[in-house]
Amino acid sequence: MRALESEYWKVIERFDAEAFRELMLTYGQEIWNYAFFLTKNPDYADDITQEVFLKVYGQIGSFRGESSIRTWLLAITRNMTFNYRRSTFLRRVVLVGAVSRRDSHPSAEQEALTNTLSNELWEIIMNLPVKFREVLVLNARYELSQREIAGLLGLSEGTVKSRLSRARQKVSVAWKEGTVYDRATT
Amino acid sequence: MTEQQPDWYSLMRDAPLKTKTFTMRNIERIEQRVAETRRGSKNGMIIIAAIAAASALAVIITVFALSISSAPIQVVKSTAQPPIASQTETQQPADTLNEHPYKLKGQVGAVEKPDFIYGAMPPKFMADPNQDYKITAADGEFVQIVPVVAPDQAHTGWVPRWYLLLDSSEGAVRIKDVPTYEMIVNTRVFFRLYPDQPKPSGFELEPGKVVQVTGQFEQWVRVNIITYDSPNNGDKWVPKSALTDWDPSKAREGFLRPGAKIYDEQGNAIGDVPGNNPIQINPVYSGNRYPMSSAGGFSGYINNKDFVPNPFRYDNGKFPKNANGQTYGSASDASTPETEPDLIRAYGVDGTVGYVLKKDLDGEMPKTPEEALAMQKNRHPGGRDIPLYDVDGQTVIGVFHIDG
Repeated sequence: MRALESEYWKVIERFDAEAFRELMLTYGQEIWNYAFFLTKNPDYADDITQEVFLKVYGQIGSFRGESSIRTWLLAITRNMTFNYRRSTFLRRVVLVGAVSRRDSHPSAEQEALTNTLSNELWEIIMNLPVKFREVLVLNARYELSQREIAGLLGLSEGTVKSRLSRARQKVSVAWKEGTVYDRATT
Repeated sequence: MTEQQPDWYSLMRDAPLKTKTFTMRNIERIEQRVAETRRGSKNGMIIIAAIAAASALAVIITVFALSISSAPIQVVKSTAQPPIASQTETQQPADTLNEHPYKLKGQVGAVEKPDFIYGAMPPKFMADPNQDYKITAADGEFVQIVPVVAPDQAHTGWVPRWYLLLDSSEGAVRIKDVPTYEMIVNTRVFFRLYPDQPKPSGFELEPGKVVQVTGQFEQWVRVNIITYDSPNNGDKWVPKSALTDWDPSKAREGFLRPGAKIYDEQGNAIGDVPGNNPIQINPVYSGNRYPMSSAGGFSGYINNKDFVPNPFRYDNGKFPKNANGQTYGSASDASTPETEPDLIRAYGVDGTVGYVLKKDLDGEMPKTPEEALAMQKNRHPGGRDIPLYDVDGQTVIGVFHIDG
């Protein structure tokens, strides 16, 4: 565990190079993972992670100390993912002819995704609809409470609780059956 | 009760991908982009950052490293950290504590563990200022209390030691609950868990932040605030001298006018504020647009005229209105109790769908501790019934039962 984790955050006038690199070393992979959970696309996750840290570098007075730095970074990542989907940049990088369709055979993209996941559980989770996937990942992997998730996502706690329960149910069923859950579009 | 985690939960802590995907190459690429933009990119975000740095208003978060030599401006507490205590004490067993019963200076949320006071957990119960409590343990600036009469585990919890009323005379100063009203932060101030807390446990409130005053103790006020990144369930006290009277022109928090657009840095419209949540603006910049942000990390730009101040009271147009001008809808669509509609959708005792008046549901709010105690004593254990109305807010169509 890095020494940084046990220190209180301090606010300084400027981000020096060492501190910025330390931030990326500490949180970069988790931010990338979160962007990947939301987009299911490693190229998008690369771009989004880059934009997140560029924004963090230049953000003005945005960290209010209300939450941990990690929760704050997750919030920025989430917002960046939504903006990213709307941006022209996304339209530029989408391959011509790449149509998302439901069929009985996995697409090349789906197969590529499956091959990169570390275990079958992640395959199940990555096939959940995004609104279930997100709350499950935030709870199980990032260990946020339902209340923290509600704050992060701007939802009521009841909605988070309901989505989390349904997400767990879906995964538990698929995990027991040893099959991949029906594919869903994001 | 905490729901049991499925047995596969622990597997989610494994890395999702077979290989590491954020490497030094990614880091160096980002650092290169930063260097390029610092050399004079026309990226609006960097220009904004440069302006802010030049104006000495830039406050950028970083991770504290031992080698950083810059003098810190403020210490901001992370909710992941243990509570700051002015004196560190080990937990004392009950038999070494004063057995004298105590009343409290005011109502306060008691929590399961002292750490919870700073975190996202709500209080275990609200300690009644007019009950006698026994101290069963102490830990730093917190004490564990249990009612003298009918002690039980459900009403055993931790509160700041400050809340103990050491002077039980008639003239002892207590917290005065007040009908809520808004004020605005005038000078930067850290909020505290209780008045005179030696080292503030809260984060810094900036000028322009809107606070809702709910109580007063000498020159301190207890406030509610809007948070955007993470909820904060502890009490929040600030010196009244740091606040100024409500002035919409000074408020930096409010709502987006219904139907107004939000724009990105390029001026493209990007949609609505998620959940119609409160927003905060930064009016530092000249021009006719404010940078804004909302819960969930949502951010963008809005036209100045589309900002409606006061995040606690504005009817942001989410709910439709009936012929009598009353808003109606589901309470779950409200981001805070203050923004709930006048008529809240409900099911009557026989399953009839209708609406109850918010003011009937909330009931009369006590204005004094004595009044609160009297109301509590008079509360019927079986609960009470209130009318269920049609959407017009006048035609009674059933009965809604509120449990005791």
